[in-house]
Amino acid sequence: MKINKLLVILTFFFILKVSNAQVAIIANKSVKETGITSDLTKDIYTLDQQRWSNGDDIKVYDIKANNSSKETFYKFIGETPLKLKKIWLRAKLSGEGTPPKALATDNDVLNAVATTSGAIGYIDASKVTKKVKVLKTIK
Amino acid sequence: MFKNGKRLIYLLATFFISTSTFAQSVDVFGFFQSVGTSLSINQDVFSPLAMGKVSINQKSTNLYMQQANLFATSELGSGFSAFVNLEFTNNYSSNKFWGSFNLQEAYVKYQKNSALRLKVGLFLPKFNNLNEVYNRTPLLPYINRPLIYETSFWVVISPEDFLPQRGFFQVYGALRMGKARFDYSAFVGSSEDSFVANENPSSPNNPQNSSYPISGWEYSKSKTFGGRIGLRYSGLKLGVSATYDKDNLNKFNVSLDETNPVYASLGEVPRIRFGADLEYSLKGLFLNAEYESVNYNMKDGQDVLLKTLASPQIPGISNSSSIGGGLDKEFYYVTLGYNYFDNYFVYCNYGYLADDFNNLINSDNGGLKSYMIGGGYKPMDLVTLKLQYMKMKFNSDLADLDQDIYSVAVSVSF
Repeated sequence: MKINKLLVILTFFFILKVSNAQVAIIANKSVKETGITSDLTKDIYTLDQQRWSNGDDIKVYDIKANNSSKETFYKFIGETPLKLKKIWLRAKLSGEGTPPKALATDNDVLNAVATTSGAIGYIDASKVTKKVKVLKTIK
Repeated sequence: MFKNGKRLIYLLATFFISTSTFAQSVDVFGFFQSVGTSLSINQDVFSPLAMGKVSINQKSTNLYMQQANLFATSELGSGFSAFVNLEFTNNYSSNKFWGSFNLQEAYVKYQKNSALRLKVGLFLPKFNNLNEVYNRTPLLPYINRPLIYETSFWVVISPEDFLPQRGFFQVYGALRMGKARFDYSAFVGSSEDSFVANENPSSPNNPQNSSYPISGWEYSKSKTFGGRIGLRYSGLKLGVSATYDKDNLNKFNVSLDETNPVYASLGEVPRIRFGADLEYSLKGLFLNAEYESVNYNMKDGQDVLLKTLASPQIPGISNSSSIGGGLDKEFYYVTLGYNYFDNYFVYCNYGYLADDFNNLINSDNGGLKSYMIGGGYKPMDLVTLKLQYMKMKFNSDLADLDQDIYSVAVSVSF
């Protein structure tokens, strides 16, 4: 009985942790910005904004899988996966920009952002390390 | 054609050799669309011998590579990038004299920030929503595109009258206004294609004639100026566009008998194009629409001469000249569609085009109308299977047309 209660409590906290997972917008340490708004993030991911304020090129990373981080991030910038794919394809085929590079997992994004000058990406906030800087945490 | 094939090989070889000698990476990608069509054309054409219309019916089926494009882009650093677009259409083959090859775009772009970008070189200028991307088949749900954008209809419809063809310099950008974005662009480009010297021996623009410039050069002083302003907010995008240039009416046939042309001249006539575009999406629903009017500024003498040349050639038939009594044109289309689960889409489209210089499809006759219904499936992001039915119709004193096109296509990006 006690073990059953314990299992129920643990399950409850696990579900709570998953559903309240926070997403961190991360950048390479070469990026001078210390924070970012949803509008600027949207401009970057829709390829309207391709350079940081100091003139460095922005390298954008996305997550391939449809996980909770991606869902939270897309909601934050107010776009759907289908809409963004259309925007990226139009930009690519008309020479207006290079779509974000989609990587398989949060850790892949973390490593890519950490090692690419001017890079920006998003991951589960619990996976952030000191290799990158956090521009915003989405709750 | 063989000379063009050799030039193509030299161009591609030069391109790939030169890209390998530079430090910057070059991204090469492209797409193609293969099409199968069944075409049924029912025409009633006026015959002077029969003193009435004679029916001509044609059917054909075609399997062909409608289009293939090869792109190369390179980030040059400090906000500069280069872009090249090579286009092959209709089963292009230089040794079989099929289709065409075209260096459609080659430009350098500079972006200071989202509010200021510059493009210099050869490119499709911004006009309405579709002009820049009318031939990017992976972006479009259509197989046959709305009338003025469909290259296979350019035998009947002159695209250079409706659309600015080439830009040389463009400044553009997007300004943020709260949650909305204000888009602007302004460009200057070449005059229309008919002002450009070419190597067709039967063309008056033959560069072998020493009074004309080099092949590919314009022999008119006039240029095209234009721009677009627009607004984007949430799922809504709308804008207005305009251009100013001159139409080449130095030599056109006024005879109904194509084998015995009679040429007249109105000179170069200034024209202004106005356009409006709308794009809206809400969840899976999408709505695209464009409108365009082309208005000519004729001098009094030109106006009178045109009306004289447009006088009926067949007694008793009021609109029987090969040309109409005006020059103005109008075009619009509306597409309504729906995306299911990101993989499936369906749409319907209505289009209208009127050209008062063309007695078959002028506004008095009700113009040319098109109706489309279609859909598609994306088994993966880079592949789209498409289906389409299209009907085109016009009625005039000289001829009626009722054309049905059934098409299937596969569009692949790589």
